[in-house]
Amino acid sequence: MRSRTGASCRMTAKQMSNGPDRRADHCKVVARGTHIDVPRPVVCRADASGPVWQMACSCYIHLAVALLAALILLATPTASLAGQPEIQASVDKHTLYIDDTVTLTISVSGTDAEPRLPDLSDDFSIVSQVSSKSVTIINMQIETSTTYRYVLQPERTGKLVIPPITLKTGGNTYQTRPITIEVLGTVPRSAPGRARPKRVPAVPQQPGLSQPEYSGDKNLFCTMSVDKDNVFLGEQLTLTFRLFTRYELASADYTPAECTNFWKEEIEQKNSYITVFNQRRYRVQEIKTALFPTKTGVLTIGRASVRCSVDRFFSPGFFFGHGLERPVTLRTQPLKVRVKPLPQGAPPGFAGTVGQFSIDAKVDRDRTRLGKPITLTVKVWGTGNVKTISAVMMPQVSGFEVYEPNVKEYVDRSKSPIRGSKTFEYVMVPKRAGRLQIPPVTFSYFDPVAARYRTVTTKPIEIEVTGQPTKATAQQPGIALPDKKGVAPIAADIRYIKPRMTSFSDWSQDIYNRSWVLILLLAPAALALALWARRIVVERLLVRTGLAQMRSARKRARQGLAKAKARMQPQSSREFYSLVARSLVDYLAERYNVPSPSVSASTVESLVGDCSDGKRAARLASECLATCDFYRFSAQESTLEEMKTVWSKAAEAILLLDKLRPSKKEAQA
Amino acid sequence: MRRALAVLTLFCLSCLATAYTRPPGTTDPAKALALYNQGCDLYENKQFDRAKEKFLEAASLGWQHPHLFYNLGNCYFRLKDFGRAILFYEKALTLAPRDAAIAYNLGLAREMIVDKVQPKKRNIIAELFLGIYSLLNINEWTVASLGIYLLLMLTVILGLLVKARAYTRVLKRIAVIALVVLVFCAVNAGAKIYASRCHAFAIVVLEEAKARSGPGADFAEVFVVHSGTKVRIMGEHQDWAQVSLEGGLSGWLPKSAVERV
Repeated sequence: MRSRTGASCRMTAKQMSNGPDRRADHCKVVARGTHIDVPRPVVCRADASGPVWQMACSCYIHLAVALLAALILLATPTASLAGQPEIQASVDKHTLYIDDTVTLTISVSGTDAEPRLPDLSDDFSIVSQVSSKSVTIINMQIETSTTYRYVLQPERTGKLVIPPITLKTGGNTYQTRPITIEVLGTVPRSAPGRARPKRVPAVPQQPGLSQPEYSGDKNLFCTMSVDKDNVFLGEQLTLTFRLFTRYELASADYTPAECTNFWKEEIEQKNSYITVFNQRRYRVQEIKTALFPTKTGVLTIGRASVRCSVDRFFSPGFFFGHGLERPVTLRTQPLKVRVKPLPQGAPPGFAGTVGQFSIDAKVDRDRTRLGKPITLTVKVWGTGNVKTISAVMMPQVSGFEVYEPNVKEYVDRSKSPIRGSKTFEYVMVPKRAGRLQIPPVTFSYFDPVAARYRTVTTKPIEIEVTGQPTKATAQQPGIALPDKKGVAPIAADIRYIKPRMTSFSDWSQDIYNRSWVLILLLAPAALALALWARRIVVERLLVRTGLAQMRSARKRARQGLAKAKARMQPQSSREFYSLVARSLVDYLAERYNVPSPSVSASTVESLVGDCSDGKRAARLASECLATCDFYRFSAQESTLEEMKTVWSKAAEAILLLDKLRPSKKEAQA
Repeated sequence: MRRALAVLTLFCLSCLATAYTRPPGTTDPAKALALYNQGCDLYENKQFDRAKEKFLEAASLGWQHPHLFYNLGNCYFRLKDFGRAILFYEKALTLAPRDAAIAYNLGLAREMIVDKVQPKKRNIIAELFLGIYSLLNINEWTVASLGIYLLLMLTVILGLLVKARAYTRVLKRIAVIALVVLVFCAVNAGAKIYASRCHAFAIVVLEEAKARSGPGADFAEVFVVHSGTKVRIMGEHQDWAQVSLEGGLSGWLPKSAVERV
């Protein structure tokens, strides 16, 4: 509306800007139309002799004088005007239609004064005006005449009168006679050669509806009306807002009515036309809205308002006024609509759709292979609120796996009542071969015109499915395979509580700080420690036993050697050697824990270790034992020196062996 | 030797008998059980508020049970208090970490809260260890550690007793494996015990809580957390707790805004 008004405003401004141009054209017209009636030059046919040449010169002199006089007259027109002032007014037609124009021609002659046009704003609007001026010189008499042409458009029907037009000049007043014009309000359809502008009744009269109230003055007001005030729930009613204006509007801001409890759809079609109301001509801006009641009872449609800015310069009555804008806010009255509930007996599958609808179904192909999907397109279309179409009744289709449909919606808001369509595209996968049938798809709605429910149905569709049947089907003919679908969650919710308990169990105590855990930790460790300690002690005891034996053996060996020293005489040599040998053998046997008979001169080295002291001790002990055995079991007498040597070797061997510590092996052995 | 072992066994058994006495956590087991069952009945009758009161009363007796906490979480969920629902689901999951119903409800409750804290990115090894760590609760890790320890000790004792070299070689191998497993179990058990004693995690229970840069209302606001967000307690000062989010944010919240898991 704003843009349209703006366009109108721009158009008016263009007209206005063309005014001076036209005036300029007019000036050109005046310039071109200025007719200078000069005496025609006389063309003389003569020879190129003296008199002929003189006659020619005389003619050109006359012509030059006449041109000079004309120029002087044009330069000072008022100085040499002649004749009685006169004014005449005429129209090109006396009967016309409201949307037609009439040309008023005012001719003024004998003066340059301009006529005074009376105020025509109540009856006419001036579309354009043109003036032309002519100057005629006949026999040196100069006559001027000015013609004013006004193109008028009637503002109302009836007999309109153009009042007398006055001309004041030279202290006198001249005026024309009143001109009566009859303006008709309707245009005959058969009128040839006439462009019929769009015309509608000013205020629509609906049966059962009162005259809509309007606000504003006689030149600018608005109305709001509905096409029906008694409808069914969900039935469309059209709310029409109209702005009537005889002004030129610079802008208009429309605020729609508040429509609580209505589903609202703006109708894109916005009409702009000229109409006659109360014998006046108005320009009308019209906005329509489709309303669908969502609640029963008496519903109220709130006030609509429009804020206009009136351009007074181009408005009637302000033609010669000032170019000011005047803001005006107009409001309509609220409307009441009675909404009836839908009657009982709705068919199955009815989802609240109201209007007039049709249904159609088609498939993209009627032959397919096993497992290759086809697309079934079900389309519901008609007048009404298609957004309330939630689903169609899709029957159980045997032999197909049917997926959720892809839904498309189209709403045509270009005109009232609004129309639209809803398309459901089902992807269907054939599960068995053969000639399968898609049963009819039905859709139910309520027809508010007939006030009854209707159900529309598609035709059944045959599909030829080729391919090998499945093994199970082949083995068990007649048993249809179930259509399997994946299990999809519908909604998420928490899992149920844990059940009642019959026995008490406590989780409040952590076991790590219980005493039995500590015992289980410590007891095996203590046991292992005890075993390990025992092993250590036993080993140490064994070593100690070896040392004790060594000490006692040394002691007894020293005692034996002491006895042998006491027998160290040549006459008791055998006894001496026996004591030395016994002392040494007993020591070695006890030291190395071997039986005494096994110790001899040849086995000593195997008993003693490999160390240097051990080798030396073994060698001394072996030599000593060999000497002792020789003198004990032979008849040869021993000397005292030999006895001392043997004794010394035996004592040194024991001393050396005594210094050797017993090994762990020796101790265990 | 046999006599010493017999004395030691008798000593251990007597200690075990004394250790199995009732812990001091629950004051009145019969009453706690009766309250729990009453709460279940009320929940079945969709009286979630009253059921919650019964469960809370049972919990106030010092009783801890995953079913009790789980049912409490369900009551709070039904009452749209998702923060406390998450709190009790977390408590239940701490006790029964492999319960699928608790984990599912906890995930659903987390979907209902306002804050969405990005979890810290971990490598696959850390995820693996965290998964194993979360697989058992504190008592299960303790029992596992104890069992492996006893196996290790058995091999050591047998090694000390047995002198045959073939047996000692097998026992040594078993002992090495048992020692490695024991270290892993003991580390997990120790971590669980540490987390349990420190109460390192808490849940925001207020509808909205403003974290500040210091322990006081006059410090600047650094971020806002909403009910149900899990935070780590870093420290405490008077009525304020220093918390950090998994995304790295850190600030001070009033103690009343959070409840420890």
